[in-house]
Amino acid sequence: MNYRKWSIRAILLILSIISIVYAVKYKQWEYAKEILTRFIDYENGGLPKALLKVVI
Amino acid sequence: MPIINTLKSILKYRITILRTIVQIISFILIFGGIFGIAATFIILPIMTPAGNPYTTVIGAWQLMEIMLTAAIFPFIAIAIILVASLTVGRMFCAWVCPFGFISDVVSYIGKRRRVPRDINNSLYKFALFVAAFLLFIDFSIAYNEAVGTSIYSYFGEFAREPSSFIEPTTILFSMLFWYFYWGLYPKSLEALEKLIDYPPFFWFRIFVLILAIGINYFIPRWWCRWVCPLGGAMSVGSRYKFLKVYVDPKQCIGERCGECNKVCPMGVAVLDFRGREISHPLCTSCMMCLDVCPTNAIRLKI
Repeated sequence: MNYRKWSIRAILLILSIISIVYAVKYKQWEYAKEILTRFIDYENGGLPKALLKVVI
Repeated sequence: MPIINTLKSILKYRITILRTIVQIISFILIFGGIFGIAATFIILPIMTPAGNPYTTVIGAWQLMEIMLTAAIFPFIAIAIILVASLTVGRMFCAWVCPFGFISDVVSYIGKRRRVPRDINNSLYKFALFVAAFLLFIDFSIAYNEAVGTSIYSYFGEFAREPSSFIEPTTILFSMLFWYFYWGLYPKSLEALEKLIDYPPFFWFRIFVLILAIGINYFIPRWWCRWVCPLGGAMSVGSRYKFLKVYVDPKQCIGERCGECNKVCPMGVAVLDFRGREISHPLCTSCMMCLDVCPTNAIRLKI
């Protein structure tokens, strides 16, 4: 029996369960859906503002 | 008979064929908004842009950054990353991730160069550094948001998702998508002059995208191996995953064959794991080694 492997697995498992419990408590999946259903511009690197000055 | 022989040789790669089919279906479903599929609340351990209007799922890393920079502790993203790492490891990288699929397509048509094992293992640590560095930035922003001393202005447009600055899927499917959707591209030859006036970060991101896709021609999945922050974060737990690939020492003929070493897209030296499970942090359980093993010495083990 590899105690190191199983103890790390146990720690990760406990952390996973705690995360799941709190995720369910705060209904965080609703936040995920909210992000996908509204327009967000975090990933556009300033588009179109940065380019509108140049292009148009 | 040549047709049957051809079919046999194709069917020899049945897991790779299955994986490619899964990748294509996943790609279509991830961008399923094009076909009228509504956005879901599904969070997957893959790199998926949240800024594309057609995405139906969200990547765990992206969600984690967006939540952290809004001073919300991302329990759900951490849970997804931990559970995936512990059960199937980095399997989603090989079977579902859209950028992994693009990398595979480029590497299929490319000319593969073998990276020495030591260099591969050393460069992999850079992904850990990238993940740690981005998490440091995310937590710094989260802390300052929580105590009311916002530091958004220091990170400009990338304050809400710092990884997007160097992340190829967001550049390709979010930034370039909107660039063409809004018609910001030059529409005449005279307008090409204006390309010089584009902000430097735009060109930097295009350069990153070209590198991220182009180098796959020579080094398969180089981005996934050495840079991807989610891959780096997941590789920590994936050493201890339950679903593993096992190399049977009785059936393996070792260096006389070595096909598994040659075919691994992540550059894992599979033969080093003879007689035990492959616990290499780069293993994505793509199972290409299972396909090519002539003695069926490699198999899945729980």
